[in-house]
Amino acid sequence: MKRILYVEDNEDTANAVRIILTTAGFEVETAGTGEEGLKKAQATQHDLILLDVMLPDMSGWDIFGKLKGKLKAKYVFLSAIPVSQERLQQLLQEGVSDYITKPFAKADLIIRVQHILA
Amino acid sequence: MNIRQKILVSLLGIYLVFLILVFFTFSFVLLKDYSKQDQFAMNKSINRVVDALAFQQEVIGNSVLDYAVWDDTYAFVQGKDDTYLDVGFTPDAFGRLDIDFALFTNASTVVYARLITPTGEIPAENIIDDWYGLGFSQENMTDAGYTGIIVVQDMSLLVTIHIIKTSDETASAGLLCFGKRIDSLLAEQLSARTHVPITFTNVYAQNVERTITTRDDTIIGGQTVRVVVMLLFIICSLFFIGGSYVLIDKVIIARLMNVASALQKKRELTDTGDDEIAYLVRVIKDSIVNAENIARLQHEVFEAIPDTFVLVSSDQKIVDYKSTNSCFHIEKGKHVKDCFTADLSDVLLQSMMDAQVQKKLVKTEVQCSACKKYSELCVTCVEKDMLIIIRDLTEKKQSELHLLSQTHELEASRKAAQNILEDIMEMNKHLQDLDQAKTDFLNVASHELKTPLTAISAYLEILDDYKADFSAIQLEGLGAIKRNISQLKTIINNILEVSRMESGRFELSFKDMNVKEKIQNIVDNLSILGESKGIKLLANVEEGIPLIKTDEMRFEEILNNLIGNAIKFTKQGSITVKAMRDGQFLKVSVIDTGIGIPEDKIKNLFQKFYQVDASLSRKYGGTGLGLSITKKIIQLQGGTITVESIVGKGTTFTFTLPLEGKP
Repeated sequence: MKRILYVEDNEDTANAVRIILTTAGFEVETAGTGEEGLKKAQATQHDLILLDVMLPDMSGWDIFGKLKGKLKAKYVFLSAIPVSQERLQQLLQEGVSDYITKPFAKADLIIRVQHILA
Repeated sequence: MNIRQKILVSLLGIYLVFLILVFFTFSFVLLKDYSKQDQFAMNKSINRVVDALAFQQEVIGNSVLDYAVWDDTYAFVQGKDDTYLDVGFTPDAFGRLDIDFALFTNASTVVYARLITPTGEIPAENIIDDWYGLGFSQENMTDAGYTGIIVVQDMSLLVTIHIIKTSDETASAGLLCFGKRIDSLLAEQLSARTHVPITFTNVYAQNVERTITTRDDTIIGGQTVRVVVMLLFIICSLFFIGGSYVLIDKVIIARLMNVASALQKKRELTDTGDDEIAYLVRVIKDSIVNAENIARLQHEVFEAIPDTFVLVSSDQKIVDYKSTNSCFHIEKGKHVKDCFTADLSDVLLQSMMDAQVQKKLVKTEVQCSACKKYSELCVTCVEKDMLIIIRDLTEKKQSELHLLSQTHELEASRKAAQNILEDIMEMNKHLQDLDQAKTDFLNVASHELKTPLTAISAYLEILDDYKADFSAIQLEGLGAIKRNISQLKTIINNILEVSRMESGRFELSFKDMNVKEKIQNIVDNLSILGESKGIKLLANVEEGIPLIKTDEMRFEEILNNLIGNAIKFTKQGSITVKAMRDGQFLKVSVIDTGIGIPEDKIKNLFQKFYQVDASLSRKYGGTGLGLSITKKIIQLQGGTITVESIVGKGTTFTFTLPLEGKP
């Protein structure tokens, strides 16, 4: 079973995603701050790390920067702020697997995660 | 030295040289020849004389021999013949033998002696005395005899002496001597014979000139010829010199002098012809014409320039002028200071001095106290004269003042503009700050609004899975929440989108899109919505529309918005989405059978926040942002949107998008 880490400071959103993805057949762990996220990411091996961009102590980019290349996991960003095509291409080249805008549709999220972890 | 003199001297020189050459050639070459010839002639003459003399002697010799070997003579001298002088040797024998002297001797005495002279005969005693003095004797006489010259009685005689001996006898009986006088007669005879002038002179006589002079007729002749040739040559030379001189003078020099004098006296040049001088004359004529043209041009230039020109001589009198100012009273010959007002002439004279000293153009500005006009004086030296140019500066001064005031105005305007610019830049900065603030706000607002929305949406979807276990009230509640959350989402998106569009942060991504597929897709999605109201949703897409390059998402938004509105405002009937190709554009129409829009409301339709009927929005929902966003999206791509409506019958929204997508 694939393991997913979701770093998100909004508890409700984090829980909702956990329920959705668990129902879809993944093992999900959540972290409420950047620090916690880093710790958990390095403590256990995950297949996918979902990163909310705006966190209280640091940004999702920072986490990505710190973890990139060190872990086997794939990285996906979640943000309420949309991103341009160019920026998206840039991110893909830098090693980001996807960028999902909030609010997302349940089905959409599941399909994308499945696609990445396939 | 002029050309004529030069030519003369040259020619004389040449001919003089020739003369000398000829003379020397003659002297050293020809005369030598002559001298040789002379010598030759002389030698011939001498030979002739010698031959003549020898002949004479031979004649005498033969005679002597004849008589010397005659028996009778032998007998005579021995005294044995008495008739000899009457028969053998008569006095006419002298004439016959052509002798002047005869002498017979025997062994001891002179038997006979006779000497004929032009003046008579010489007594025999005298002859015999002289004979004995000579010393001839039988004993010392050879058989050959003696031929030579003896002197008897102071007369030179050409003689031959022979022993008298016959062939019979062995001993000689005596001597026989015949001779001829060597005197002028003989000389004459010989001369006549030899054609050589001969004189006989006794070299032993006293007062004889020992020097020998020769007469060289040939040389003299040659010398004469030489003189003749020289004279001839001189005469010819003189002719040549004269002729050359005249020729050159006529052909060249006289013509040149004519040309010069014509030029000097300013007469017409009339030399014509085809030779070099005619060519020169033509060239001169052309130069003159050119110079005249230049002078004319200069004059016209002077006249054309609206300044006063004055040419002043070294004694400061006017030589020539052109005046354009009535204040000046300039006349030829007047002194410079009398032509102008006092102040002007002072400055002028000063400038003139300066120009002379500095040797360059001197410029000064001066104002005439009389007419108040400003003038610029330019003074310069031209050869020994001075050129003064007086230019009126009044206009210039006026425009200078004008320019100055304009410059001041301009400066003031510039300063004002500068201030405005600074204000604008400040405002711009302020706007930029505002813009930045807006962007920041948007991002924050985006995030802030959407964060709770995310949680709500997610849980709503989760709850959806548990719908089966819900009660009626719970289902209704869930439905209501879902609908309203959806509305909220739309409203938030619209607000954010409008804000973004306003600040230019609006991006379109163009990709090829299949029109038929897309429209069918959208119609299918929304047909559920329509069905719930009993309205039919239809798609009517023309066949063969090519792929359109457009932003797919925005196209969806547009259609969603238009179809959404149509559904909202139609109670019954149908909504048709029609699509066709119109040249370079795709034309899409959303046709409904709804309540329609009154005409006076149509013009405001696409404004932000405009609601046709506020009450309707409350009923049907909507912020009124949809159409303005839709219009903006269409226009940004280079398309248009229009609306037609009849109240009670229906509304048709039509929009176009370029097939090639304008980026």
